[in-house]
Amino acid sequence: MLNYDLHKGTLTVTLAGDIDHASAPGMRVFMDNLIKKECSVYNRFVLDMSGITFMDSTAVGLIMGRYKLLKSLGKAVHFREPSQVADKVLKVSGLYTIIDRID
Amino acid sequence: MANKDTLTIKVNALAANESFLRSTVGAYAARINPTIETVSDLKTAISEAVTNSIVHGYDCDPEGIITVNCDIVDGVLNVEIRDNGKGIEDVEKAMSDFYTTKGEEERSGLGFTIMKSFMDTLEVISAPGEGTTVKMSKKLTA
Repeated sequence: MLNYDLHKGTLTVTLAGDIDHASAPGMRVFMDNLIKKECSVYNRFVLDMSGITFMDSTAVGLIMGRYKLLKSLGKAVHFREPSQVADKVLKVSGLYTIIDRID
Repeated sequence: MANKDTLTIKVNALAANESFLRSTVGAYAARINPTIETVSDLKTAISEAVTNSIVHGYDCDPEGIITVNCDIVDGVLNVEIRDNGKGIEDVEKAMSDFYTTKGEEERSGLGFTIMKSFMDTLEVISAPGEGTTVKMSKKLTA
């Protein structure tokens, strides 16, 4: 499940539900289209992860790929309120060393 | 003597079976009342192993068969995930952090890293052309 909100230069994408090898490809296409289409109207990208019920290393690959794209476009990237299950995978994967968390 | 308590599942290598297998093993483990966090760790590790079998073992060919065997002995869940896919040439290398043979598909190379950190034990048995078996265990009760 995926939702987004564009407000005062911040594009917030909310990922919810299970993120795995089955669901990631659709999320990738949706996010990439959005990131490129709205490129001129935001400078900050926030990934809201509060509703994630499951994620594995496929989700880490998905986030890394979007991070690289956003960086290449000169955008700031942040996580917001990762759920407990998301937080644990983010910690083990080391993603917090490149993307900071704002709650 | 411990009571016999085993579970065996055989499925095709379909992405939809990733959530099916992790949820099923999670539900099986729930009978001895582990914490939610323990079940969540277990599900993540199972998902990694099953995804590896699908993506790497079988190159997403749904004809491939994945077999999951579990038992619970003295509060410890043992799980074995087996495929008859192409196998791993260098297991040690495959298990190192961030190593992936499918970088172009945005694979993070962290599957085994996550299995290692979310389970108590991890053993990988594989050879080219001979499939891969992942054996893991986790204590379910404090």
